[in-house]
Amino acid sequence: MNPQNSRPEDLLYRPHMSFWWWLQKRNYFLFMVRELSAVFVGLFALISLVGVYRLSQGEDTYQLYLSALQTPAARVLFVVILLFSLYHTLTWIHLTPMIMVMRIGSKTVPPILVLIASYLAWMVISLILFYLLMVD
Amino acid sequence: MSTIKITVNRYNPEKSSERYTQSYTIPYKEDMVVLDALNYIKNHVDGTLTHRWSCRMGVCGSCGMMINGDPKLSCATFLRDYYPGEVQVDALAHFPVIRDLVIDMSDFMDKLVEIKPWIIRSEEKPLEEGEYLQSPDELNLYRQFSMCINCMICYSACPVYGHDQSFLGPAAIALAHRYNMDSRDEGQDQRAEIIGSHEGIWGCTFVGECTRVCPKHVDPAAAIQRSKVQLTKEYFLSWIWPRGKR
Amino acid sequence: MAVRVKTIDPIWWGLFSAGGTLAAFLLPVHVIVTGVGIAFGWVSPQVLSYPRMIALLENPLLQIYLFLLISLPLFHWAHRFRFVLMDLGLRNLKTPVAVLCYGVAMVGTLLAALLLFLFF
Repeated sequence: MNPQNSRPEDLLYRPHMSFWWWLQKRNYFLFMVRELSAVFVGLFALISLVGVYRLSQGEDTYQLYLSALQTPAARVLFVVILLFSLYHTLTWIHLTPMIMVMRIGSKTVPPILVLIASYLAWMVISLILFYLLMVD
Repeated sequence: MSTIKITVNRYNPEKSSERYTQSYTIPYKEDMVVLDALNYIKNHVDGTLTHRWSCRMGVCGSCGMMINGDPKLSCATFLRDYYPGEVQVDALAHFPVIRDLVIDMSDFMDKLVEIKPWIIRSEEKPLEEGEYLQSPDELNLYRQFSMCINCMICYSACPVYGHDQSFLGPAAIALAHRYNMDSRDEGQDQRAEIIGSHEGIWGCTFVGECTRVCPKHVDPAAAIQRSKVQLTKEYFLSWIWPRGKR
Repeated sequence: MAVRVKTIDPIWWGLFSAGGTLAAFLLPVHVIVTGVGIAFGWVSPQVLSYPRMIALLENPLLQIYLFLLISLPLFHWAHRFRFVLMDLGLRNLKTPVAVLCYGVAMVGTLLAALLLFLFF
């Protein structure tokens, strides 16, 4: 290049971001995992949608669906979905105190209390839901 | 005498359109920071090394650069945390490089101004009515976000900005939030048009690195997410109550 | 404050946020009971049995619950996945990616609505 004849902006070195940027730092990788947990959340929603559809097609078809849920492949899939679902929950709860600023009067509630309250809410909601699902 | 090796990723467009690394082995003392090392190199070894610095105490925001892959202030990064290993220094990531460790910050400067970083009043109070009063609690609502020293380290850590420089970025949005939360300010609507645009808060995916690397603990990620909540609330409320100020 | 936000980003973010919160608090138990539990036989198949499900889905409140349980997580996935694809370099395909992601979520939502509200 000929600096004398170039405009200043042409002499700039413009960096390029690698496709593998998310592997270059531990926090970037964890971020990607967190984002990809949404795939398994969506997948579970789809599986539920298929279930509702099979339900609408009659008892025999629905039985086939239930049997499919008990195959070895389904076991692996649900374990993976569960792991990512829990990762989604934990990361979501931990991000909540940053976003939800609770104020009583003019004082701010310490973030750690918001975090504990979120965990407690999750526990209580889960117990109630578990009871409702299992008990008829 | 103890020594330490500093490897700098350099750039000189008058020599080449590619970057190149150059290593320097210099005397090491326990109290040295990376800035001391760079100044030693410039003063005693290689006068062509180019870098920005000013206050050397972490308040001016001039000396941001990549140190072993992490964006940091060179005046606040101690060599002893890397010694006896090598210290690799590079220009602040995601910005065009002018020369060596000096980056082009014009994009950042434009964005800072764009979000209107000043108190906006619908009507200015006349001087005779005296000053605007603000309680300590009102100050605490925005104080954290006012601590930004414009070092651009958060932009270096943000992969969204790294991919797409049209993104407003952490510091600019945090600064907008600082003014939005200021009890004296009445400019939220004006700023909402800017930070609520597609290149504003909505591009942020809450990676959170900006908050982690900020040397002043400004927490731009929190500012952005809170703005998202606020603007979403207002967006849906404006369907029910479309006209006028509430 | 009256706000004229020219983009519809708040809609997608609002849905993403609602879906994320719902999924965070409710999904693990659903996955444990109707997923892992059924698959490994720890939960009696009676829990998901045809007569029980048909009876439960006659209740409009449960129809709405199941609708939200399907629709909102789909929008949560759509919004996050759209940005993941952009972060992986598909930035020049911004519009097709958005249409694809939100489109899938909308189709899923429509199907869920048709099945749950019209059929049951």
